Amino acid sequence: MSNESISVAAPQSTRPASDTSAAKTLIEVDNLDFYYGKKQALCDINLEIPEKLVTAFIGPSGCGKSTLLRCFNRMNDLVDVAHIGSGSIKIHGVDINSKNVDVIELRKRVGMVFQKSNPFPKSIYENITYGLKIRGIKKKSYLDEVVERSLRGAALWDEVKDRLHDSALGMSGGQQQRLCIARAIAVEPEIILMDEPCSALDPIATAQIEELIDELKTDFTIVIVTHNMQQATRVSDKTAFFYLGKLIEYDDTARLFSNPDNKQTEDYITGRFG
Amino acid sequence: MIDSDSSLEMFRHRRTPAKSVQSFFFWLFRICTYIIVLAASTLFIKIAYEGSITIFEKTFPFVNVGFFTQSPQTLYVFEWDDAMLTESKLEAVAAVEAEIRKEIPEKELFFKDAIVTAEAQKAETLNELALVRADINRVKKELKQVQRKEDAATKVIEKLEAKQQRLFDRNAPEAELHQMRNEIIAGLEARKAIFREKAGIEEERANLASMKNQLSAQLPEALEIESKRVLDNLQASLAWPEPGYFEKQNAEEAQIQAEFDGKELKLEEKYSYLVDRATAKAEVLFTEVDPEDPETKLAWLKAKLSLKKAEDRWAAKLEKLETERKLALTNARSFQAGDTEYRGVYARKAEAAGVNVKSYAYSGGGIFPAIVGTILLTVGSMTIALILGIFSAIYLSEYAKPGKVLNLIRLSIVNLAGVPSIVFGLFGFGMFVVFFGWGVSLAAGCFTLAFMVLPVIITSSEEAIRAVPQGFREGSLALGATKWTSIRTNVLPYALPGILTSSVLGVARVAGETAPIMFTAAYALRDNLPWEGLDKPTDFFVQGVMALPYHIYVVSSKIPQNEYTVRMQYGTAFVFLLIVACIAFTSILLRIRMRKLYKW
Repeated sequence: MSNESISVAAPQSTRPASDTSAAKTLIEVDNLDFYYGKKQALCDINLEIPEKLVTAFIGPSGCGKSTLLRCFNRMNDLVDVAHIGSGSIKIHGVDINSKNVDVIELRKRVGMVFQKSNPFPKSIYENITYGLKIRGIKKKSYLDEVVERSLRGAALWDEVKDRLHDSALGMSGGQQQRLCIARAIAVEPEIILMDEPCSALDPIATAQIEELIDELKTDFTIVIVTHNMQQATRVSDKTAFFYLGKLIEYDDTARLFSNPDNKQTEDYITGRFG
Repeated sequence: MIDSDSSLEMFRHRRTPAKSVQSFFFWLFRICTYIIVLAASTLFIKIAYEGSITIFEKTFPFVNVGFFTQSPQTLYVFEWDDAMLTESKLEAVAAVEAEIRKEIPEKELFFKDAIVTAEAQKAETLNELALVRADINRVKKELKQVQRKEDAATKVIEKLEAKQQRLFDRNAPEAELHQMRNEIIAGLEARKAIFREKAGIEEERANLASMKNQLSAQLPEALEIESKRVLDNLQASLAWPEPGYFEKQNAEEAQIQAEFDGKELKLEEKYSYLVDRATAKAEVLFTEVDPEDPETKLAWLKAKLSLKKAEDRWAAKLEKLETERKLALTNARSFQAGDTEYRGVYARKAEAAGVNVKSYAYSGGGIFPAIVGTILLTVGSMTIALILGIFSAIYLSEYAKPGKVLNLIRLSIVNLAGVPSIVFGLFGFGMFVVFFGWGVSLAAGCFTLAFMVLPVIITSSEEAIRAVPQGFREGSLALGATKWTSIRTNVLPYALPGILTSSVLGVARVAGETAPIMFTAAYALRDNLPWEGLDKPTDFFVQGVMALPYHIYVVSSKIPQNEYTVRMQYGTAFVFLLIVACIAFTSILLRIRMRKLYKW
């Protein structure tokens, strides 16, 4: 199995355990109900996501974890039938669905990395600077600086520094995904949402991304959706288990995987269903 | 081990109904395709061959330049023979010439007088114009004063209103407020009066401007141009026919005749030899034929057939030679001239000389105005269609809420693509020409053509926009782009190659349609080029133009057919095909470039 090679590549055991109890709450989800048309996708979610830690969402397919993730930067606005039934999501105590919140400003603060890497068919340099350019920043020296900083942040600088002006589509899948991460951190968000970022990658690329997530959490709050429970244990500090649109259990990763309170959680993580 | 024979049996070909049906239709469609391709290429080769006869020449510069640079003209063919050119006829020509010589000074004198009178009028007009200009300046000044007054009044009213507000705030006594209100009303009345004054001054100004236009129209330049044209024509008619003209043309004609006679003789000799040989062979066979022997009978039939074929070929070649001879002779004694020029220069003397003149409308000159008109119509309508089409497509695919209404709109657009173009022509006629009152004009034609291709462009642009992966939109939205920014920077550039593909089809259709421009934009003949003789720049868009498809229609179905118009038809069709091919090729190149730039 590939799991062993990953655990060798990702130095999970050497990672100092973060102090989850001391962290400040950044995202608060209160009694959230979410619907696609008449179908209820999330029901009564209550969740507090701490600052500058990695929170993982796990659960079987269709359990609503991606939906909840996309609520955090209101990407669900793009789906016509999607709407929030009741409850609220607060970031820094501000309800992000209220009318006073500009969704553009929200998305500047909450970046996102998608399941399928989606670099724009432009050069690597243009990919990174896209987020700044649409904000009207045109100063060349500043853009160069940001490109280098973001690519270093995404551990990609050494690989691509000689071909910044080549097409981003010439990169490998893992590099493309890290480019997407670099693109997200170039605009300096507070929170980075990752929707199964490694699902299409091989174990080595996955290990690189996991290492990257570990480094990023000193500066950013990261919420990651994953199907891979080993991955959740390796990268996350807190884990939420979802099942059929409900939050079943939410706890420190170490505790949830070693000593789950709930029977369903135990069944899922031990592979008895799902 | 399995026996190899039985395993071969497992995989051998078996007939099933499905396989038979498939192979039948495969061959059917294949044959249909070949027939269509063959027919199309035959047509194209025919047009290219006949058209290149009109366009290319055997001598330097090898291209019939006049065909690309002149307007269509009437072709006048002069016919005479030596018997017609008697002494008395030549005397009559001399008499006409003497008459013209007398006429010239008279005309000169007349025009001189007219021009002197006109100059005097012009001076007077200029004086009047100066007065009018002074008036206009005065009115302008007055207008400025009135404007200033009005501004002052406005300011006073604003001040009073502010004061009133303040008084209200302070709960001032009613009487004071009342007074204030009266003051404001009075101020408003004063302002209204100023407005009335202003309107009166504006009206006066408009009157003065129209008077100025009328006065400038009376200037004598037109008279000068006319006098120059008339005198030039008279001078030119003195020069024709120059001494020995008829003799020279006769000699040339005789030479051509002799040349063709020689050619014909050669041809005849060649074919009579062939025919003789074939006849002899057939005769021999005919005498020796044994009705019972199928071999000899077959040979005899074959010989007869080849004889017939040789005769046919000979007849065709002779006919072609005859046409060529006729054209060569025509070139020797023909003029390509507009009607005014012909009447001014040649008509009187030709009549006196008893020369027989035949005229062939549209058969001389070239097609320059039609080429220009087609390009203007195509560029104009594609600009309108692409702008409207792309924005509609963006709205339909990105902004509109899906539902029954949207489906209905889509269905109507798709159906519009199938509406016959003549219906669009009538729509354009009713809408732009009559209702908007643009008349038969470039703008009306452009809009009609644009509306005709709009459905195709909307549909295919929408497809192209939808084909851009959703990930690009989400990616840029997640970086904090607004919807329009994300469409502009991350959707449209990648959809452009697809949109351009559809516009290639649109260009070909727009350039080629006759029906929509028949009532809206096309003139059968217009001597002025679109940029000539404009009173003001906007007139450019409200003038009719010539167009290649309409020109083909006119020369091939609206005038009597003869060998001279046929040359014009094929030449126009060939040039037209070349132009459409050029435009399409440019679009394809553009698309390839775009594809390379934005590939995912």
